[in-house]
Amino acid sequence: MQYFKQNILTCIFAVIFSMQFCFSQGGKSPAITISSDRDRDGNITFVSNNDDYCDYYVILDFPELRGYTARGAYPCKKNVRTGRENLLTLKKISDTSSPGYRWSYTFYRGSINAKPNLDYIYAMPVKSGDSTRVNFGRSGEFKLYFNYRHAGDTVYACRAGKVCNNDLRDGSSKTYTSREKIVIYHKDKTFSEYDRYTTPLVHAGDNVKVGQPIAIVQPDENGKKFVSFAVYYLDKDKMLADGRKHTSLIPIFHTVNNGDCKLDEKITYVAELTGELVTQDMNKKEKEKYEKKLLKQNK
Amino acid sequence: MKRLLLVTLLFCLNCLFVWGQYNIKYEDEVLSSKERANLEKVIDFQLKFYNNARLDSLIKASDVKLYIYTDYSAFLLHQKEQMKTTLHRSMGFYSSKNKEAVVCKDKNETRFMKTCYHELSHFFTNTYFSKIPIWLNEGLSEYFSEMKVTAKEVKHIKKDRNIARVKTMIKNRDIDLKNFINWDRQRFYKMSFAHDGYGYALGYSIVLFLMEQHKDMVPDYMGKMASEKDSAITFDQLYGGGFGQFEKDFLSYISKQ
Repeated sequence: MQYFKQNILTCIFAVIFSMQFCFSQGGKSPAITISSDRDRDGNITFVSNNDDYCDYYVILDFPELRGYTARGAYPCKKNVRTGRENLLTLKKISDTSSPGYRWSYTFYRGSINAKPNLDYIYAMPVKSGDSTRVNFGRSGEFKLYFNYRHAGDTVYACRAGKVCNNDLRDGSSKTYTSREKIVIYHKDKTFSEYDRYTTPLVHAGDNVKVGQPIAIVQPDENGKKFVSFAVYYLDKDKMLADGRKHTSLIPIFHTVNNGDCKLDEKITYVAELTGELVTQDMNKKEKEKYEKKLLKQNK
Repeated sequence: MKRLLLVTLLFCLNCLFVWGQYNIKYEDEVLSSKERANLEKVIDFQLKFYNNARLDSLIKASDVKLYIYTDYSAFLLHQKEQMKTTLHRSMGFYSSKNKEAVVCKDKNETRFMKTCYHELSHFFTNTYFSKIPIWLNEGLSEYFSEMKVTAKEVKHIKKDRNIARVKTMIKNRDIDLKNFINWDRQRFYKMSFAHDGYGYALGYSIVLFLMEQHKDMVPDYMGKMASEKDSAITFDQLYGGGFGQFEKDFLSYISKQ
């Protein structure tokens, strides 16, 4: 009986411990999982599974490797797209008596090959024709807080892209947060992040267009409506250093009254959504399709 | 016996002179002998540097004022009293009221010493070169906070993080040098807190470039910049080829780091 009680107690503690661990990670499951497949000859292939809608940079390491050789360099460092991708195969050395290995992995949201389009002009996240002001954040990562006092309650996408799954976590501290955010992955492998809204209008996996409504913002307890906006990318220069792996950019916005500029505090800007803004990220085919659609609408 | 007493007396007098040459106040035995020795060497080093830039009168060792707190609450209270605000992320500040550097003892010895060196530089700039531009003021403090003291010398150790940060700025076309060197304090701190230590990294890198490539000219720059509002004009007047050449040389220097 005593033994039975001890076992129950151990189980309870184990459950409490695992729940605590789960909550300490925000209850989120990892965006990247690694599985291994063994073939008839004993060779082992490691496969990544990316559940998110953007690229991830994965580092798969083998602190211990006996009786195997790796096909390709290891630690294996690779950008992985959504879905399954082979990372590395361990080939068994035939005359080894006790082969064995230990592996670990880490992963970061984004691609190590990100080349931010520094000439990209962002649309402001307020309705075309409305005015807004910004404040700078003080968190270290460059963030603009858009004031919706004179801009209704709808947040509009500043740039086209695919909505990421924010219920997943990555290996850096980037997504360890309890607050919901809308993160959009762009063609140049940068991200834009919208925070402090109330109701999202888009979901993970959605393709959003520039100027598309993506969230509703409601006044806070002081009657103020703010939405934060940040642009960042996975920076390969930060991979070897401690701390943040992402670098934020100061985006250039299109405004009616100040042209295309980096926004500053204490200036009122008027938003405008132009055809040029909409077609910036489009390829030739998409542009033709868009222009045809416009022509049809005008007829 | 008399000779022994005389030698002891002379030794004590010598100790009193060495230990008492700077105005360093603290509670209890906050500094270890090694910390104290390193601190005095760095003060000496900074004193020499800043005295080089002074044309009128020399700063005396006894003019240097540093107050070290051991209790963080007492430090914050003093900060509130001096500055009318408390900066929770900072372990040191310059009191313009008392004209002294104030530091709180940190459990991390390296960080504590760096804070001391950083605030001591602010003591010199804010007390004796109060009109120098903010990028130079903070750049010098960032530079002097990274000093390595050995038995033979005191030398600067490059702050790789700041250099890497500036390289990223260059890569992302995030630098307008002419504009930056004329930022006021408000703009400098706002952009630095908003954008990953922007001003500190860039200010430091310019100072590093000047110290490494044009060390003899730095005192002239300091003197001129204290009287000239537009730092670009100073570069135009003192740097061979003017501001344009300075910008080119600086960017080239950083890219080679």
